[in-house]
Amino acid sequence: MKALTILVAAAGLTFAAALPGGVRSQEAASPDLAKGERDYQETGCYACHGTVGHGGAWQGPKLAPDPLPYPLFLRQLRQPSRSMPRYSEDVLSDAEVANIYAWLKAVPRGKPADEIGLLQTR
Amino acid sequence: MERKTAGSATNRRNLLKGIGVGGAALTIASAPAKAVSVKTAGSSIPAVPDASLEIEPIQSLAPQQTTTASVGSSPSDRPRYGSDYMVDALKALDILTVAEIPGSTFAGLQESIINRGMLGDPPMDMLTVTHEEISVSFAHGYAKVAGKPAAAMVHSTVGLQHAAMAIYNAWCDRAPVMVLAGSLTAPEARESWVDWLHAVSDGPALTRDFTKFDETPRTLSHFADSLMRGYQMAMTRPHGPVVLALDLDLQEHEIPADAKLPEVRKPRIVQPQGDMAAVKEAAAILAKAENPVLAVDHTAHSEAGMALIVELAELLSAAVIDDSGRMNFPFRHPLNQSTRKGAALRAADVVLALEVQDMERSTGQAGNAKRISISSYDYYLKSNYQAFEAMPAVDLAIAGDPVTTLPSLIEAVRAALPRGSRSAIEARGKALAKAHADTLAASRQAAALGWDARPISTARAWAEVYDQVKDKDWALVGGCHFEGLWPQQLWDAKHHYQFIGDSGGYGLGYLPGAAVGAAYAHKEHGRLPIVFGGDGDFMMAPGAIWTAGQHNIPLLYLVHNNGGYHQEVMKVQHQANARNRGIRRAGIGNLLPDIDYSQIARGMGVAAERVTDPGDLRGAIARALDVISRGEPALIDVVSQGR
Repeated sequence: MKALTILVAAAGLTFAAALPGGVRSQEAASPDLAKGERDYQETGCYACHGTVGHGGAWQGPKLAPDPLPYPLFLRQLRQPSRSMPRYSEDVLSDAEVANIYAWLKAVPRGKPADEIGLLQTR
Repeated sequence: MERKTAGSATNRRNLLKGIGVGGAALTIASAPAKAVSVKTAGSSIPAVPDASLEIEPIQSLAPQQTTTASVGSSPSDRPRYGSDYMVDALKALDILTVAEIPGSTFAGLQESIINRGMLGDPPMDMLTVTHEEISVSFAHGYAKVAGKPAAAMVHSTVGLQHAAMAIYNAWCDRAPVMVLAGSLTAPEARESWVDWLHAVSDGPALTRDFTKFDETPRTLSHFADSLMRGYQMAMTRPHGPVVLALDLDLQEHEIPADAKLPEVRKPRIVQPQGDMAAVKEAAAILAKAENPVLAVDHTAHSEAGMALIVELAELLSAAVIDDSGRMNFPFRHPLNQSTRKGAALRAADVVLALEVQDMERSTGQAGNAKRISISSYDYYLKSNYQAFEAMPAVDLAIAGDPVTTLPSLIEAVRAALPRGSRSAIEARGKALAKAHADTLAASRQAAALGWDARPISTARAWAEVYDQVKDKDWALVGGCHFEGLWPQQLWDAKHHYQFIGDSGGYGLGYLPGAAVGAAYAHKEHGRLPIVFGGDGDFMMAPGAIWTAGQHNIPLLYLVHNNGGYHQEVMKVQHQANARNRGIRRAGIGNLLPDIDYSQIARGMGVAAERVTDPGDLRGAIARALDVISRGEPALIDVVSQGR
């Protein structure tokens, strides 16, 4: 696990280095969670990833409460892969991204499938 | 389940019995506030409402189902009018169901259906709808369950124009639909300026690009030829819609007593089979494949067809990927790899595509795999509308109906399998079964995400429904694409009738009419039809739910109320962000806020509830199922996540 963490962190640094000049690639020290949630909804993240970042099949991937490491998360917004719209700094600032990220991490973890009776239906 | 109308289901059924008493005026006791009288013309002739009903529509609860007994009129006598003969011809082809919104250009035919077709044995049934688009989509959904056409009767010009989009859906979805359009061909027959507005020299030209056949018969003999030809074209694969424009003069034409009219025979239609030499070549390739994949889409048309696909898949232990044009393969079969389609295709060395509409979408991830196609689409396409999809790269294209070809192919594969291949095939099957099980577990984890979220997740809505219907004889009557395809992942569908695919042409407005038409076809089998479909689709044709209520068609209709045209929201988001202008305004023009679909349904006499909390779904579904058990539709407005 430790090796994986180092690998992910290294990957994050690599991506951070590749980001456009001056991009802050760190999480907010004191994020505004309420604003993060509001921006998540207002800037349309909910459309593909669900209103609580749950994502799902045939839509955007799950984001909460374990989003990608922040540098990767930010890179996906600025230079998205696959079909995600691009969010430039002009339309979503680094500070706003940091708030959204913090809110996603704060979303309460849902029940696992094996604790939901309806999902055990044969 | 609250129902806005005063009459209960029980009262409505009693009314039906009461009408059978005959003759006299009748008062609906179940409408206490504003009793409405209806007059019956005979013992089993459908009720004729007073003029007062036109201003009291809520009270007009006279069931519109047909009755079976004759009133001693002339349904078995010789046809006296052209439209009588048309009715007899339709019945000879087993076209007994007609969906219509009235139009003066088919008034003669309508009268013959009412007073001849509906009173004969077997009786025709005519369902009143509120838009020609619903007439056609009703017939579209009906055909996919019944396996035979219903007729959509539409007015000349404006009626066919309304119907056009739905006809296009049926064309793309390869569904047999018989459209009967009125016509005022002769200028002398036009009695007013409106008649001129509604006259056209070549009405079916409007839809000619997306029908298999059309005709404007000049005589009754010509009509008989055209109807039989149209029926045969519609029912020969690839199936498709046909349009006949029926001149009002021809409908009203009084047939001389000594006239000899052609007999209309219903042919047994045998579908085209692929060339045997090519089938053997395909079998040899499949038998030697290391990782064969079967791609299916609009493939199976019956339980037997589905069984053949299963037989071939099991013979080869081939992965099956289903693009859900029809019910082709059991959802929970271990070889069903649809949820891990990309992985299955990337591992494939041979792909056999069976009646696949879009080869690129279905098999594009297969890389350099050898591709074999068996498809009736190769027989028939048209060049203007591009419904034939992108030109696929195929190594062996066999023109033919796959299901008709499968017995020969299965036999040829069995003969071509190399000695000693059984163990490799079994190992492949075990690996695929494990992959299926792993995918099922992953789907369950994915369904748990947002389980308690508001708006309600589509996974939760589907799971709540399934829990209460799993032991019933259920059938999905709509596609599930925009609702997460959760049934394909988590429900146990084994029978062909349990899923009918989607619109085909992605033309909004399909679902309400098609769901009601499919539900109508399920009714005689006592099945429980279920649909969970978009709010935008519903708003295109909400009147369909009125038809379900009026004609006592059991149907569980869940509206996927995500507040707008969700896909378009995302598309505008893409545009706005690509132009660096932000997406906070992307909802403008794409949203449908503040609509309560339960109120709309109740306003049309259909039991309905609105659910905003996932915890309330269970009770709402139970109450809806109780209504449905009494032979009526019920609607639940599910305030939901986008997808």
